[in-house]
Amino acid sequence: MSPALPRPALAAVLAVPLLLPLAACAPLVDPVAAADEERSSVRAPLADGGELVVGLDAEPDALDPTLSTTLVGRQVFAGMCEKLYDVDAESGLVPQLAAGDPVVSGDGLEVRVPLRTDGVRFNDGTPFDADAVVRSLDRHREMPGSTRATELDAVQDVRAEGEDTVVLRLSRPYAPLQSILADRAGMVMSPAALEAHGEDFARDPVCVGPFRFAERVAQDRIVLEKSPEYYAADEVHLDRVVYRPIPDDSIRLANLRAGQLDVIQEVGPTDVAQVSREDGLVLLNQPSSHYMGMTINLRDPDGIGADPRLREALALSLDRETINEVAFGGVYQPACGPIPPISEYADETVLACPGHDPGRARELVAESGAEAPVPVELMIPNDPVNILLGQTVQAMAAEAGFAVRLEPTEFASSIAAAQAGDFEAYISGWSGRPDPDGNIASFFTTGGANNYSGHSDPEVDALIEDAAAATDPDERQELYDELVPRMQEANAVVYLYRQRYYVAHRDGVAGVELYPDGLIRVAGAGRTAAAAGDGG
Amino acid sequence: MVRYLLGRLAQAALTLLLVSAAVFAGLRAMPGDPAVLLAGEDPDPETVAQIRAELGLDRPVPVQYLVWLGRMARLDFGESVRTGLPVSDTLLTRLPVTLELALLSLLVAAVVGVLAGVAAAVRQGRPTDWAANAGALLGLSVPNFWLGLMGVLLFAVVLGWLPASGYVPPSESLTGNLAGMLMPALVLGTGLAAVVMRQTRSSMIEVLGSDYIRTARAKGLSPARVVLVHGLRNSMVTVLTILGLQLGALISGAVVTEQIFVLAGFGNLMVESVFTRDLPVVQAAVLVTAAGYVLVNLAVDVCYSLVDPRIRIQGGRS
Repeated sequence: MSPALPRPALAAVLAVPLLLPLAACAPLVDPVAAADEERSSVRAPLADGGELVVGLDAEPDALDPTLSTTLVGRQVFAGMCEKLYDVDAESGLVPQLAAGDPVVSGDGLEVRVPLRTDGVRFNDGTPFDADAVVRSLDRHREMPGSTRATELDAVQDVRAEGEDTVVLRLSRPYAPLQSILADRAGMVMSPAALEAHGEDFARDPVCVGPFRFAERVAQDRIVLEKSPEYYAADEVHLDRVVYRPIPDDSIRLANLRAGQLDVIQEVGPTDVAQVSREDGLVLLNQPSSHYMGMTINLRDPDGIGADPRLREALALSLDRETINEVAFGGVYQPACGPIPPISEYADETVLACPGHDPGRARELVAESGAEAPVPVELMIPNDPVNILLGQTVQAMAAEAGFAVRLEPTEFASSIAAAQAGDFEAYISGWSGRPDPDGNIASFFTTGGANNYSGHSDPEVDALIEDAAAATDPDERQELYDELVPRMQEANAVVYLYRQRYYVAHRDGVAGVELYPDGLIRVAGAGRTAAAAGDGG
Repeated sequence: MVRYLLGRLAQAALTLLLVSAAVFAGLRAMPGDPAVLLAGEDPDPETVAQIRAELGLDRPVPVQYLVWLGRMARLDFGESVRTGLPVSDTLLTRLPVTLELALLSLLVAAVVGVLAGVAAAVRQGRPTDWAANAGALLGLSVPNFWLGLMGVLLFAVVLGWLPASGYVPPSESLTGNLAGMLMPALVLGTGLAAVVMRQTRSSMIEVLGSDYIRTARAKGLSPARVVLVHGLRNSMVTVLTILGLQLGALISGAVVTEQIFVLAGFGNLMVESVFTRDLPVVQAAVLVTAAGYVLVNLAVDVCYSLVDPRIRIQGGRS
């Protein structure tokens, strides 16, 4: 479990004066306390049959594990595509289609994955075996446009050894491999379906899973139906699962309340407190590794990025507790670094916060010799929640002597500007990876794909590489303890907050599981026997 | 008449060609590379280059346009770059939703708007007129998103009479279909009804003040006949124009209404596809919408001559 943090307590103290004026007319609900009650699932006796309608917060992209790039797409895969490994309720890695943990050779260059052979079949009836795994991994690594290719960069060659083992040969020792095989890179596609559809696998995706793909009407619904081929089919209760994209938070919630939806992904932060005490609704809640941070462009000679004192001043001007209160009603968590508290590498050093010090920030601005107020152009996503976040940052930075101008920018344009280095500061999010390397390498390595700040430090590059290659956990921990404080000193990315996952469902439903990877697991879900008895 | 129609159709084809060229150029001038979005959260340059080549985005824009035009001529709309699904399937599933919503809200607007407009004109300056005008002002001022959300809260969440969202094809259940479309059509129709009411009222007042109406009254025709046959028919030209223009707008999608009632129509499709830079979908959807506009305008022009024989279509025989 995650280590206990003092922050929620402090946030609760801060929240009290905010809520007092409301106490007279409404029951006092402490959203922070509501947020802290972690709940991953509700158990109840379930009836067989029925349909579960899940409201998603966006339209999933291609349902092809090789091409998929979105969290919302993974929500659908969670119902129909099992992986070699899975994430459990405690963020640990457990075998799913693998029969056990990977066996790594002494030099770290050969990884053997034992496979389940106990009658596992794809949803089209094709048997699951090592050849199928090799074929999928090869497709992930080699298909043009594959977004898995970078994740599997260290893999040089994959071969089957008999029917129940695959052997991966690596070009370098690579600690994150198992966690990568617990995501889309570990999904195994039916060889028959690949034969039939080739690159158009997304039109009729077939994997091993509790449900099989039935139908997709773009931007309207994706329908899965119970698979008779699934190895644990007798533990699956539902006949059908329907996913409907409804981007607007309040409309999604209204549809849950009206009964058009049974489950919703992502309850908006301002609705969390209300939903947590609402009759008829159940709130599930998990910590996440999803964070928002402010990237500062170090290559901009005229901006604050050019002066480390100004970057530090901007970072010190921000009070993350208050940001969380004002913008998110206190239901998220302040974040100060790339490694989330749920990570096994989250020790005190890694979680330490440089903190809020407006006095020191003003001194630094004065020391820099820049004329106050120092203008800063801040690019932010153009949705109401992030604009509120931007305004909060703007107000805090003003106290330290910055004049922040907000530039709300639509996502695709902001990525283009960030890649071109055409920005001064940029608030953006990262969905987070279970392995620390996935939250660090791409952002801080010289030339990394997400290194918009232009951060470049050969020593940091070496530390990142060594940490990813270290297969001994203690050695990795030491390397991250050295690396993370150096990243914070650079202030190339100023971490702001970490999201929590809030999923809600109706109380006639149970067995829906939410883990810290944010995926809604529907394999064991169903209508409660009580609700089914009422004819619901 | 036939020559006129053929001429108009040729004009329409040219219009569509120009629209498609403008849209093609505009989409490519937009910042944000579709290949980068498709390459995911951790895009490496090699993958991006591969995707660009796959989508043909590495070729010069005029070449891309000609290739696209060639495929269009064969009615090959291509695939969505985001979902990998055929664009034609996506458009075909959208079309009935959008058309039904457009026609139903137009019906609401026409019935409510014309009735209120006639009543207001006949009772000009009296309470009926005041009430109709106040209603119109309200209809124009209340934003659709607010009306829609309140409707959902009241009729779906609190009372549970109507579904909050979702489209049921009429082939599956006609009542289910109408239950789902009732609120969206009313919400979308109110603003439009207000416009129609104002137009009907002013044009009726003008017509009712004209000499032939006085003559008709003097002949002793019943007031209903005077108003409905002699008055309303002659006011219909302006009203038809408004309805025609609005139908065009409705086909291009009622983005807000579609989002509130989670209807998978054209408006939502285009907005979402622009944000995800799903260029093949945007291009095809805009083309279909533009074709809708052009056809509706043509139909309105033809209707004029049916409603008002004074309007002679050039090239037609009198």
